[in-house]
Amino acid sequence: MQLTIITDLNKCVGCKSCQVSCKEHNTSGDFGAVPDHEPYREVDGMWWNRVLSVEAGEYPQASVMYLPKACMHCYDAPCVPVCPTGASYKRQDNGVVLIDYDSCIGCQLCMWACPYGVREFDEHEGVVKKCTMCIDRIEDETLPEKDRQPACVQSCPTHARTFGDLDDPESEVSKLVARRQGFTLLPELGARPSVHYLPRRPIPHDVDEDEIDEVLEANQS
Amino acid sequence: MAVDAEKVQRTPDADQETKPESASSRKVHTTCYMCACRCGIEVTVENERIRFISGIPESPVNQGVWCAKGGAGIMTQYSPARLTSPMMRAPGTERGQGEFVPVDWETALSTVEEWLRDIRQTDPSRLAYFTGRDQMQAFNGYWAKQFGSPNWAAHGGFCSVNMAAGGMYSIGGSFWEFGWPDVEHARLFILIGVAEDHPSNPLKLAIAKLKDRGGRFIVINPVRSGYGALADEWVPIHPGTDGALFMAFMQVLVQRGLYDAEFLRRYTNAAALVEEAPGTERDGRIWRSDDGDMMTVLPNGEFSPFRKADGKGQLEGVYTFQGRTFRPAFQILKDRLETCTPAWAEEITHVPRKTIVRLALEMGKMAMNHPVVLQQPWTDFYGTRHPETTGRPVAFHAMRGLAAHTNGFQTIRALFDLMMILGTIDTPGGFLYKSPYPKPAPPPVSPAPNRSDYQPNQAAPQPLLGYPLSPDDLLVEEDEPIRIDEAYSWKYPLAAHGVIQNVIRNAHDEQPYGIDTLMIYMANIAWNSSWNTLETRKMLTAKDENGNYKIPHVVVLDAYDSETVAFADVVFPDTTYLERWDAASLQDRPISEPDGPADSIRQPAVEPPKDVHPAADTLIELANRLELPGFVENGTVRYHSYKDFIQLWETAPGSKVGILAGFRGRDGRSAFVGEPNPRQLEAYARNKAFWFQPLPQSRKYYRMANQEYLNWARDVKFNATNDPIILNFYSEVLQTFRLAGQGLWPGKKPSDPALRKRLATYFDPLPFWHQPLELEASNREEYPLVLITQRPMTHYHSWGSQNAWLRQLLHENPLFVNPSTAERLGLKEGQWVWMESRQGKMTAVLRYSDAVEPGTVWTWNAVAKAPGAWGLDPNAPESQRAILVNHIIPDTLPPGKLQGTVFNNDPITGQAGWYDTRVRIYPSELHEVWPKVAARKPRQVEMTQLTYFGYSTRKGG
Amino acid sequence: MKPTWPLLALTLLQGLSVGLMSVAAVLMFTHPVDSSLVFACQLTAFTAGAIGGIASIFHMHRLSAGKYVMRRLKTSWLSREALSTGVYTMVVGMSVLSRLFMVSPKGVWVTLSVLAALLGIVAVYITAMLYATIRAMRSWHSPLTVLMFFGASALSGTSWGWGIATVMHRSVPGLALTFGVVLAIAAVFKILQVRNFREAENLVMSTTGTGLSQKPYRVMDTGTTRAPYRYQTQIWPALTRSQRIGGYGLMAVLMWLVPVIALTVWNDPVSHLIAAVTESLGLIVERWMFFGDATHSSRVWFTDEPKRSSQVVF
Ligand SMILES: Nc1nc2c(c(=O)[nH]1)N[C@H]1C(S)=C(S)[C@@H](COP(=O)(O)OP(=O)(O)OC[C@H]3O[C@@H](n4cnc5c(=O)[nH]c(N)nc54)[C@H](O)[C@@H]3O)O[C@H]1N2
Ligand SMILES: Nc1nc2c(c(=O)[nH]1)N[C@H]1C(S)=C(S)[C@@H](COP(=O)(O)OP(=O)(O)OC[C@H]3O[C@@H](n4cnc5c(=O)[nH]c(N)nc54)[C@H](O)[C@@H]3O)O[C@H]1N2
Ligand code: SF4
Ligand code: SF4
Ligand code: SF4
Ligand code: SF4
Ligand code: SF4
Ligand SMILES: [Mo]
Repeated sequence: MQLTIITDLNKCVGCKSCQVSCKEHNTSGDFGAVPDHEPYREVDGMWWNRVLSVEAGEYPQASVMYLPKACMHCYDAPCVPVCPTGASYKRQDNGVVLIDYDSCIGCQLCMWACPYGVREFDEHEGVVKKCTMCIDRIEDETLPEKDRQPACVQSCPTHARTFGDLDDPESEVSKLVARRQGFTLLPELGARPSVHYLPRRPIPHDVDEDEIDEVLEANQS
Repeated sequence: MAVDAEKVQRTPDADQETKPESASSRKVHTTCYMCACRCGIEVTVENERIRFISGIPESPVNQGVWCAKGGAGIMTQYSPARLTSPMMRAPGTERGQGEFVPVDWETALSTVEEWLRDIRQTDPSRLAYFTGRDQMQAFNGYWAKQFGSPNWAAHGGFCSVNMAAGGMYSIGGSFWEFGWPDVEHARLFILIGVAEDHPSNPLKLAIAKLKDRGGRFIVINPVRSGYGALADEWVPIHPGTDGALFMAFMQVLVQRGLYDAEFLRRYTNAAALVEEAPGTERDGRIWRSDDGDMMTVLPNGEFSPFRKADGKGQLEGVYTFQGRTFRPAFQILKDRLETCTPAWAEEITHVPRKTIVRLALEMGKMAMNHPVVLQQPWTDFYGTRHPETTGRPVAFHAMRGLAAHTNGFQTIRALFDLMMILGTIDTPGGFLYKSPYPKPAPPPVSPAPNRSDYQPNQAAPQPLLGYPLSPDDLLVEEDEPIRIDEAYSWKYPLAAHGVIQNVIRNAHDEQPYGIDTLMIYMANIAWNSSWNTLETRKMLTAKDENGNYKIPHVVVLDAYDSETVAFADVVFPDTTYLERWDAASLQDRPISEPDGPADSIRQPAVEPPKDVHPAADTLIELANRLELPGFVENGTVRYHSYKDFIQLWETAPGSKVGILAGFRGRDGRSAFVGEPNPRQLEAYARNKAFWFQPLPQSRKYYRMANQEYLNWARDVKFNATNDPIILNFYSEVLQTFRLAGQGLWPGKKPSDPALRKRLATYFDPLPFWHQPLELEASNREEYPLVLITQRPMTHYHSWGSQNAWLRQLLHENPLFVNPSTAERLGLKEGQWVWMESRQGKMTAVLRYSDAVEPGTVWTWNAVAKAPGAWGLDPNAPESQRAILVNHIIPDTLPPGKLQGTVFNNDPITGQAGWYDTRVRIYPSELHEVWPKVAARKPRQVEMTQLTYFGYSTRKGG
Repeated sequence: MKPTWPLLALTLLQGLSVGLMSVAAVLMFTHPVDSSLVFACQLTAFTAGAIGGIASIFHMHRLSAGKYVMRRLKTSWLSREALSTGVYTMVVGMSVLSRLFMVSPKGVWVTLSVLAALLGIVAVYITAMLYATIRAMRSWHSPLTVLMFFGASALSGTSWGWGIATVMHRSVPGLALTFGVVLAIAAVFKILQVRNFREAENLVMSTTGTGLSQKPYRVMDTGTTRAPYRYQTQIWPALTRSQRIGGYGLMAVLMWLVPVIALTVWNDPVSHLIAAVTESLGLIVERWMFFGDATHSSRVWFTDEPKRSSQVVF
């Protein structure tokens, strides 16, 4: 089993709801706090999920895209073997990559090893923190069913994010990846992320060019 | 690596495990207030602190999702900017310095009580009460009306009154709270002039649904971002020109016959015969039968009252009757469209003519060739039974990109006429009303028009806001305005939401008269909702020859230490939205969806600080002390708190209609109409804080004409009658004002020729495009670029920056410029520039963006903060690196022929022209933000020195 | 990556220590009589190794978990580094002790010294591999990283050995030549490595391989896309062109120009000392640039405001 989150870039509006709901849940969750530095002076803080805004192309063909980026829960997670203490580990049963703060020495080697820049260092506690796939929600049987999903998936106002088991070919996430050409980031670095993104798929217009010309001509005369 | 461990704020003992559902944890359902969308939220409280905020799945608004602001409500609750006790300006300090002494409630209340009592006994107009982004306008409006001052309004004047009025005068509804695109059935969705978040969750859910269904999404906007990013096609348009685009669309549609003639004939007044009688008071008026019905002409040439014509009224031609000449309204528009060619519009809009034609063809073909047909019979007001419900799958949504220009009203009129032409008003796949709309276009309510209606010790006889039906409804004495904001005056006749942005200057100039007390609730008028901001701030502190403030008293009711709080003489602290009872009412701006009426409540999730009371309770306390009628009857106090008011107040004594429509009646079983229920709020609380009554399928569409719906709407008192609501393709109301301008109207008319000209020019009963006033007034050669702003998704106006989480997401705002424009001007990415308008200049940092039309520059709205306000360190980036463009947005137009001040407002509605500023940009030698205002001390200095903040709600260990 | 002093100290001092131990081991056989010079080298090596080891502790932020650092010898080069550098330092210590107290026969000292040198080479290899095997650190992921670690170790060993000899008024024929040869080889490695760093930087581009369509793209700075260097220590503001030229220029002057001039032109005891000192300073700059100029793959998603005033990352 490999739990994962798929984001449909055709739907993501960059609202950062997923970014905030992540912090909201996790700061008081089992893996919190998700701290802030000089919260009312500076603007640095820890986020386990960061939404990027990206512009591409030239005017007027410019396009704007948003990319939420949290731990990719890689199949071959490079952050795991480098960890000297075994604090970083990948769960056998569901593929979630986690950090055991009790044995983390804060050497940050895992942060260098992770290609995606999703691990963040808490200076104060001396440990590295990151997205946990909301493991404390999804495995908490005292929660109602609807809440047993990652906070960022639950909050997303466009339902751009889907949570599920990528190893199960029948799951929603597997089907989406297969049907919509799901892709991963930095594939050449060999981490084999389980987190996939679904590309844009613009719907074209279906107006006949000739008809446009016809109208324009009619207006000229 | 040094760790600043000394300054660590955490809840005590963060490490011990506590299960979420422990005894100290509870879930409270309420309504979010981090923006105006009013989503249902479930607040988990753990150890008396907010653990989690999430969406309520059953809520008709947000269906379980929540946005960045909503989730970050936690940090607003613990904001260092919170006001914690009543305050009075420190003796010996000046207004604006922000030096206060905390006082007890009795002192603050009795001080203000005394001022108000004096005003009320002499001249109630000397109180100007303006409320900003509040969500209890029904209450605030009632309070002011009972006080007896004409001078109340909410924020609509600087917000979107053009959109509201444009819609109300056209279709008896509008976008957002009034109506909504039906993306469940639409195949083409066109979003115009909407930034990233209007509205937030509902529109996001809608776009997602459209995408799931493979619908096409077009965005018309000078800037591409947010929703625009998801567009299948982005149509960059030059600001202030959409009216021309819509006219050209209509031109193509009419020329190609791609319009819904049947819809126009049956449900709009496009077939109404308009008289052509220049120089007479009949000119441009609709010919009416004896019983007041509009006359139309049948295919056989016979004239028939509209309601008898059964939709056979002709749309085209010229007709004469007894020597009088008539044209169907549609014909008049058609004649006008002759000149509105795609080539003409290309010049104005910078949208290529090919694109204009294609878009028009796209919408026309989609509407006409791919109707949505629902197997749902319905009966119209003619008595015709339709075996099925047919709609046009072309949906529009628009907002301030149209509204915030001083040609906005007419542009929005053009959009609604375009929608009528496509037959997409309240039909599946098109625009759908939200309850209680549709109302008659416009609704027959308007304020009492005479000075004598506002007498000492007396309540005003009518609601203070409404929709004039003719010049006779204006609040003028000759040419003189009656209201301090000049709403409903000749300058801003259809100012349906008041004109809050005029208040400070007028009060300062004593035009039309001086006031005694300015009371501000929930508006940051000394900063982001003012323009020409530095001067506005000066006016708030200006003194007369005797050294007295020109505005003698300023009272502010706010929850946070905003820039405006510093200008108060007395400050009443409000609770946060998580600490009070409140309602989103059908009497105000409800949470209804097209599927049916809905409303909701707020209830306290946590206790407020000891010395903080809900603002509404404060107002009720003042009303009780002043013994305002309606609040105190025969010496008996009717409401002790807003909670009482919500449950017990009725629109009129015995009307059985009140703030909330659900769980009415003694037993809580009635809906809409029923006796007040003293346990209504409990019932709402049990129902996850909202009430929603889906409409049956047979009442969901064509509601302006659906007799079953109309009967029901009368029964539940949405409307006074069950008459059909004929859509105003042609606005005869506007024509009455034009006649007044021409001196032909028999009733009230202005005498100043400049005022007359203004009316005659802009009050065209059919839409037309003209250049926004300020864009016209400032020299295009000198100031070639148009400056606009957008709202970011993560911030709600000025109040996001106090939020430790949200401010990290956005805290500075560069000026976005198309690289081609910058290169032409020899400017580089990252460079400091001067941005100069007719009003003044300011610095900004340039940033290239290909996602902006080359004639436009833009930045985010309301990110900049005055140093030290909002609980932030005076060196925070919000005051050091963010810019407030309001400094250079002109508040008034250059002097012209009109007497007195002419604000940069729409000449019809008084809407502020935020997006009409022309600027030029050039290199700056100054590499910092300028202008800046003086720094003040943050409210809780110790909070600004926190170096590590790990918020947690856990306890123990 | 931000150069932090514990890492600079650890890697530099480990390199120096191993270099000196190797020089000492060689001297033992080429100059068997001069044991005090050898011992002086070893003593310095031990001191350097010990300080380096202590410095590395400051790189850990939770000492309480320090006991677990060797849990992952199977996979983690850091576990291996802890072990190898630890064992190496221990053996160096034993070798120093055995000479100091003369408790054991000279054979033991020689054996321990040679063993220490060999272990040292292994330790440097492991440390270098720690950096070289991080694929995400695009600049380091190359055999050149290992070669350059050895080069630096050899340079610091030979220059310090030479310096120590000068201070002790000894002349060690061949040392100067060795130093010169090492200088030349290291120069080649360094030039290749700098080229490699530039290539790495160009690899981490929006045009290549982040997986996003519609490349090239530009990251718009919206607040949290500005790199939070405090929380994301794998990146650091990209050096500006002038910082880079300055850094590498200073390195070249200190590491090559001055020592070569000192060796060939002035060639007197004082200038030998100057050469040793500038070489060491040059190595500090070299190591600083190794960290400071390194490009991590995640930089592609962060705008670099403080040093590059652009919305566009690359
Ligand atoms: N997150 C968030 N949500 C909010 C608010 C907030 O502050 N934050 N504020 C709320 C309030 S009070 C309001 S009034 C609404 C406003 O919601 P919007 O109407 O979406 O608000 P604006 O940000 O003013 O966006 C105006 C848009 O119009 C575009 N525009 C400007 N001029 C023109 C033009 O001439 N033609 C066209 N086609 N487009 C143009 C601008 O580029 C921008 O995208 O949002 C509400 N929702
Ligand atoms: N340049 C430019 N300027 C603009 C616009 C633009 O597009 N461009 N848009 C305009 C528009 S549409 C609008 S609506 C205005 C909005 O401008 P404002 O109405 O000034 O809105 P806010 O900044 O949200 O300020 C509202 C005040 O309410 C206070 N407040 C927040 N919560 C509470 C509460 O619970 N209780 C009480 N009592 N007070 C509370 C805040 O502290 C703040 O002082 O800005 C206008 N200004
Ligand atoms: S919440 Fe959804 S739409 Fe918003 S940024 Fe995240 S993924 Fe995108
Ligand atoms: S910082 Fe912690 S989790 Fe990361 S590698 Fe070091 S010990 Fe492992
Ligand atoms: S994304 Fe980074 S932290 Fe997450 S599993 Fe992959 S390598 Fe590890
Ligand atoms: S899965 Fe949970 S921890 Fe990971 S990004 Fe989403 S909310 Fe954050
Ligand atoms: S959209 Fe507005 S009301 Fe809804 S959750 Fe977000 S901030 Fe709250
Ligand atoms: Mo607004």
